[in-house]
Amino acid sequence: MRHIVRLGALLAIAVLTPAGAAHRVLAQYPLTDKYAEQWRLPDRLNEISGLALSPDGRLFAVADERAIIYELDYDEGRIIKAFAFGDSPQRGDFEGIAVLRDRIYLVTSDGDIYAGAEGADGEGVSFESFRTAIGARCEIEGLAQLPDEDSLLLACKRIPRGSDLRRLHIFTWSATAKELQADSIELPERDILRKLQVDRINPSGITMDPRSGNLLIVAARQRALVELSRDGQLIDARNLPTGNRHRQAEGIEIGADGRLLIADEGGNHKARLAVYVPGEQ
Amino acid sequence: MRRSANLMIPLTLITFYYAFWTGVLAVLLLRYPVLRDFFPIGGIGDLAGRNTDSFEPVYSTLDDTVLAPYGALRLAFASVGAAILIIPVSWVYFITSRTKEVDQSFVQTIVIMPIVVTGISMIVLNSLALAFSLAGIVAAVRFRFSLDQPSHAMYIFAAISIGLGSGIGALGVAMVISMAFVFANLVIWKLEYGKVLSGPFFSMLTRRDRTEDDY
Repeated sequence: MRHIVRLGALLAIAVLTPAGAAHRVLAQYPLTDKYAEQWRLPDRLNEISGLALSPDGRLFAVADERAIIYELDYDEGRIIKAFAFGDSPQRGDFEGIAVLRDRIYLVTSDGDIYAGAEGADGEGVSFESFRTAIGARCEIEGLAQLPDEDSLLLACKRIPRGSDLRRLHIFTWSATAKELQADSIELPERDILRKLQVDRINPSGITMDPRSGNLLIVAARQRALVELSRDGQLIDARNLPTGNRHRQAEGIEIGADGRLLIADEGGNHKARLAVYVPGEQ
Repeated sequence: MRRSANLMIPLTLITFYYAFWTGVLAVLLLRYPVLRDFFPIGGIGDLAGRNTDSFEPVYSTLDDTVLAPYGALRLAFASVGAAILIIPVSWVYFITSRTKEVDQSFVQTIVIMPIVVTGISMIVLNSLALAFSLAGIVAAVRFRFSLDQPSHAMYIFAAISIGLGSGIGALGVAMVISMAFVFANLVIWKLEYGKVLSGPFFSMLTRRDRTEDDY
């Protein structure tokens, strides 16, 4: 049954993507009930803050406060395993997760990056940490992998006082050189604000669409999705569905089969994971 | 309850009844594996496997249940299953009934009830809104009737449980409920449990004198 759904999603992408619009990703998702499935997550994922798909299509998540990585089965709806960075899980304000080749990366709001191998259920694995010192310039809230460049994208949510930055940026950290790259993508804030009719934008999650290479950003506070080209041009921006479906969207991922995943932190409720498939608008 | 008689014959018949239908189902599934998609036979494994690491669907996509192409067929099989499982419950009522003439209306009610509950539960499955609607409708209909005996209430509960189990696609669970109810009832009836408080164990338990008739 699940294979039929996946096949259907792929076919829908192929059929519904008009010629000349191949690079518009968000437009393929109606985001309506008909094309959505949503799960309430177990209590230990209440503070879910990031999602990442591995190259072989497995979904990983991280929750705030402790470096515990969860592998989720979003077809059957269960936690497959959980492992930690460190025998006693490392503490921190973890805001994003990415999987690059066989390494799992976490980022804190200060921009510190933690990297380690995948562990077995209940295992505490050894890890490395890297200071980017970016926290003083902007508060980091999202992490995504760029496999073709062997690097990570760090999305800036808010610029603290005293920062030299005037605009929100997406920074690149090279997993090869283990350092922040000089080039960064400036968020086209003015275009986004105009399109969404909001007065500010605060990214809370980021991912790269593996088919088009476009960047997808989710903004919890504005309940919005933004699509950018790799050079930072606004392609599309739209609001998430109203109601309780997305209370605080913190994580976003998109699979090679076209399914769009959005994780919402629970707050006083249970966290949620929404799975959207492409369809007719 | 009427005075207990030999339990062997009813117990054998009922056990044979459950074994017969289990066998029919097994043969059908072995010969036609495609029927597995239409038979709501799951349940026990799902309930046992559900733990704190399982996600909970936020809302049921009705497309996957009643509006699915095979939804009506699945409901039909579930209703037949519910009817099959409630029949032994009605037999137990006949066997253990205190009076010679049983209440026909009551018997018909407990036989039909799980079939109705099966349909209702499949419609309201995982939908809070639909469940509230159902509560409103029931309140509006003012479905009330008085039961002659307190023991009748447990037959009603058994009928509802079997209907719910069948309706959520867990005929396995419904079967366990049916069998547990039937066999427990028969054993309690056979033992005439609670009829007298004589004997050394009950004297020790209740601290009553054997010669004492009443407090």
